[in-house]
Amino acid sequence: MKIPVNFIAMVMGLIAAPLVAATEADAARGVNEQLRAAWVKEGLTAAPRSEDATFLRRVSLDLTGTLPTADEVVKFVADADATKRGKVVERLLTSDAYARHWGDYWDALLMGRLTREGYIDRNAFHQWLVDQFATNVPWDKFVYSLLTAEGYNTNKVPGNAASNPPDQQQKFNAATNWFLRYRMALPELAGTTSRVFLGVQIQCAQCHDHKTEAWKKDDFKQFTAFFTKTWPTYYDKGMIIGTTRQETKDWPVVAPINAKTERYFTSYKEYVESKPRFLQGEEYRGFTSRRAALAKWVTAKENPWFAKAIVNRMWAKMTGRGFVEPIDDLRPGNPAVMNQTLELLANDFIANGYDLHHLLRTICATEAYQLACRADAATVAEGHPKLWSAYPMKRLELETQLDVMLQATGAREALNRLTKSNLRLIRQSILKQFVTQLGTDDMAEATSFDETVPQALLLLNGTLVNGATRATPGLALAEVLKSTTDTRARIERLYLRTVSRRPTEKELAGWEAFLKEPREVVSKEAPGGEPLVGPAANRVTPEVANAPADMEFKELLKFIKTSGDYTALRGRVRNNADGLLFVKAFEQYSADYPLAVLASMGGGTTVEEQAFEDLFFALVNGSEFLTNH
Amino acid sequence: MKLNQNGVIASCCPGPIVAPSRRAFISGGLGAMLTLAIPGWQLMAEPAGVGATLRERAKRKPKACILLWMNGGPSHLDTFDPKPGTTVGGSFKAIDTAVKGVRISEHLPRVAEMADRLAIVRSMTSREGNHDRGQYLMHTGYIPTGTLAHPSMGAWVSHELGDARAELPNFVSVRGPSIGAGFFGVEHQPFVVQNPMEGVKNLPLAKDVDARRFDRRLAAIDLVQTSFAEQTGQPAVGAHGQVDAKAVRLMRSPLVKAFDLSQETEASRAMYSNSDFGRGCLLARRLVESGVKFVEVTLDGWDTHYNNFTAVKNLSGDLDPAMAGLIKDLEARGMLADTLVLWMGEFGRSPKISGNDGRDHHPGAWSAVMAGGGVRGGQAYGSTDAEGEKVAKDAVDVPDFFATIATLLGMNPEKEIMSPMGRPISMSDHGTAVRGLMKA
Repeated sequence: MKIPVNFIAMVMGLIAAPLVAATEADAARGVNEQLRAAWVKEGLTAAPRSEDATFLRRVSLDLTGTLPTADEVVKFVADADATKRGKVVERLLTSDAYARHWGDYWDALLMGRLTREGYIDRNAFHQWLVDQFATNVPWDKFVYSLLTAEGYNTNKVPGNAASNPPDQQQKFNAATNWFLRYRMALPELAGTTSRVFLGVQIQCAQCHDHKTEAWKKDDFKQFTAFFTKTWPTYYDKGMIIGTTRQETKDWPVVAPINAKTERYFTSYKEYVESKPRFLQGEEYRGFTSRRAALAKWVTAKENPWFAKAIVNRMWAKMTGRGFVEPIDDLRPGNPAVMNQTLELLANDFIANGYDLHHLLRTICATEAYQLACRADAATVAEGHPKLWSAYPMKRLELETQLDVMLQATGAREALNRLTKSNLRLIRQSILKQFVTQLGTDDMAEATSFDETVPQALLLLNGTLVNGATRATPGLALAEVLKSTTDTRARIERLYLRTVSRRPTEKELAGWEAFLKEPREVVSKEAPGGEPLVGPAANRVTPEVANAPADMEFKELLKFIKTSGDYTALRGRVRNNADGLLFVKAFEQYSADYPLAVLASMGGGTTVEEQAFEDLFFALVNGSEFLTNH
Repeated sequence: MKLNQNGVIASCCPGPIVAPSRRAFISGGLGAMLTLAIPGWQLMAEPAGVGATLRERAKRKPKACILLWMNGGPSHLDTFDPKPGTTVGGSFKAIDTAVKGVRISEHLPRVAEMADRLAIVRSMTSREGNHDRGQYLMHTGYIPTGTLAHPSMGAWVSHELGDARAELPNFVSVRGPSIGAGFFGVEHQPFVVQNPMEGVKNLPLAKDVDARRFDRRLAAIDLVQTSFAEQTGQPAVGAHGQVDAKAVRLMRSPLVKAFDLSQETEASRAMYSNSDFGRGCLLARRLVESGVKFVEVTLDGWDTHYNNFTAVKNLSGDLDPAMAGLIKDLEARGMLADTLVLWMGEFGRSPKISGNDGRDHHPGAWSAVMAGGGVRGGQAYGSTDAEGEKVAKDAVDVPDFFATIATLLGMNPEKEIMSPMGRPISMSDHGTAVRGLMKA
């Protein structure tokens, strides 16, 4: 006989403490004590512990941005091991998906989702981030490497390069792409550095002193001065298709303001002329790299902001709300809720060598993370459970939303085949659509994204969701329908794939009624014609073939219909601007094309198949699927 | 007082009401009042028997606004505030306009012909020289504080003049993401059209979905949503449903053809020229015609740190026919009086020409342009010094500029909306409308 977990807890006299207390780290125990005391003080009743299936889905999404498989859900729920939650956290932290998920997160945050420049190798930078998380590089080392990165931005050689730097491969350091992103924008680099890594918003003092804010213009100028001895050197001259090689380097001198360096330092004379000074600290007078000195100060144990900033950010990411909100504004005028808990976690993080795995393990073991998602008027303020007395309903990051859609529908494998394993391109293109249609800052945190009408249209009527939920051979629904003829078993399998739980009796009954409703098979002409496949894809469109030699490249691009056109136009790139236009257009095409193919594929041809398509379509359009809870 | 769905405190009284000023009565008299497009909220406060008759009031529809957003910060010296022949003036010449004594860049000849409809504000001044902060400021009227997301101008117009039941969005942003609705919430978020030629994406139903099947799908989504709401008690589930409902309403609306430029004649397309920006302006006119209250059209590329003159000349080539065409077209359709057209970016550019033949950021003195919608056209308002460095006369700061826009659109610039932080926010941030920019 299985003894319920709650019963064991009662017998052991641990009614108030959940069972994880036996295995949780000391820090988590400390956090839990403080949380419980705060709830008592505020008269809040905490939500019950989350269901196992819910927890598995929650922690998989938060740590890896992916859904647990149906098998994983079934096994986890059946597992009687009292320490299974801790064990699954451990497994997820060391998965490839963990590294990719956090690589995606920091890529969007540091680079912006839409940034595309001929001198930035975004793939290399993304891979660098993924590598950091895959090897769990301590946070202080991560930030140090990023802030002090020198070397070449890319290890790739442009197809039409006239020559290559002999030391390109040895000096390749993808982290330099972050510095390049702020090329000619030193104040922004300084502002971002202090905001993201320290939670200090000195950029508010960039233009003038604000009466109510602690930082003055001089603080800002002198902080920015740490970056004025660093600039990149162009290697490639003339027209390049691909990423131009740039070597970022710390120089022993402050940039002389001349025609050459002015590209980087235009209008930043005042920063170049300022002496570097640490925030609330001394001027830096040393002769070694200014950025190294800054990075050392930022990541020092004594730095009052560094550990708190990342702990607050990760706590907010995991539990839906930071101790301090906005999460990157730690100024004294914006005090933390439960500051002692933030300090406890920050000190523990430092004591454990800035180990992100340790921090995440601790957060996952706290009640703030373990409780059920629940909302009632008494415990919710500003859309969030008060003092973490329940787990909130969180919108998924854009990247995650897309990934779970691809995962649940099986479209990931299908698109991978179609694009010869170039799924990343499609992801980028769809994300771009998401971001621009959301009408928001491309570096915004997902928590600030509200759903918009264009996004709703994308989900309700877009090519991807329509196509991916069809009973097309090779996609998830067809597999499920093939695996069993039992209606209830089919519904259960679709629930496990999407919302990672079994349907309730009521839900099953509701769907059985839905599936039995009278209907006819729908089939009509595809709007906009079928995509070009096979030899037709390589044909060159006459307008492209016969375009006059002096036609502007921008205009030429408008005629493109086939991949053959891209091959034909490659040779007509005349300068870097054309090259960038070409690359952008080609990426868009490479991403749109497989979706068009997906849209053109056949789906369900019987009443039953189409009814299941509708059911599956509804599941992936529901809030339960589109959020973490 | 209660919270509405966006967390905005809805109150029954419309905030402080500003009565028409005494001077307006004395100097303008009754006749002037009749021709004035008097905002609805003012009419309510008007004494009986004064001003327009009830019938005329009923006919008056709320105004709309088209913002031509010059992203990156356009050089005032190379567009609307030229200083030819000086060291700061650069290589461009100035040309005469339809207004005597007002000269603008030689690369804006068609706009010059329309100058009698324009109020060129040459004395704009602000203090934010960083793109993000300047863009935020000139969209919202506030500097970013990090703690409160202010609603942008379009969101204010949507909030105050928009129809919540309209099938089309009240705020559309063409070719740029704009700044969002901040704490006004999803309802007032800009509807983004990235490519004016493509219009709205994902409108036609897929090949195997007809109207009945789509209805069935919506019913299936209802099943899912109801079940989840029961399990978690989450109000957010309801918000999701509201957005879906709006999307469906748009899919089914006949008005959605407003987004379809193929419905325009070749002649009307030519009027705006064939650039993407020109098409964006044409789309803006179509949208306003169909009841959209605020359209922002972006022309990007004004961050001319190098090769300023080549870049501004090219940009002017796109701007000139589109802006002139828009004003001419609105006028020909009798829409100009009810449509406020704004031209601006986040700041101007430095008088000093850098070693790269470029100009840097310059928030201290720059130009904006207004037309239509009750603007007193045919003037250059304010001026800069000989170098275009500082404002010499009639400075217009950001709060005053926003107060002017609000007043022109018939909104109460002082109306305060409580933010979630408990701080009341008004569109004008205590600015005063500039009388000289408005028709008497």
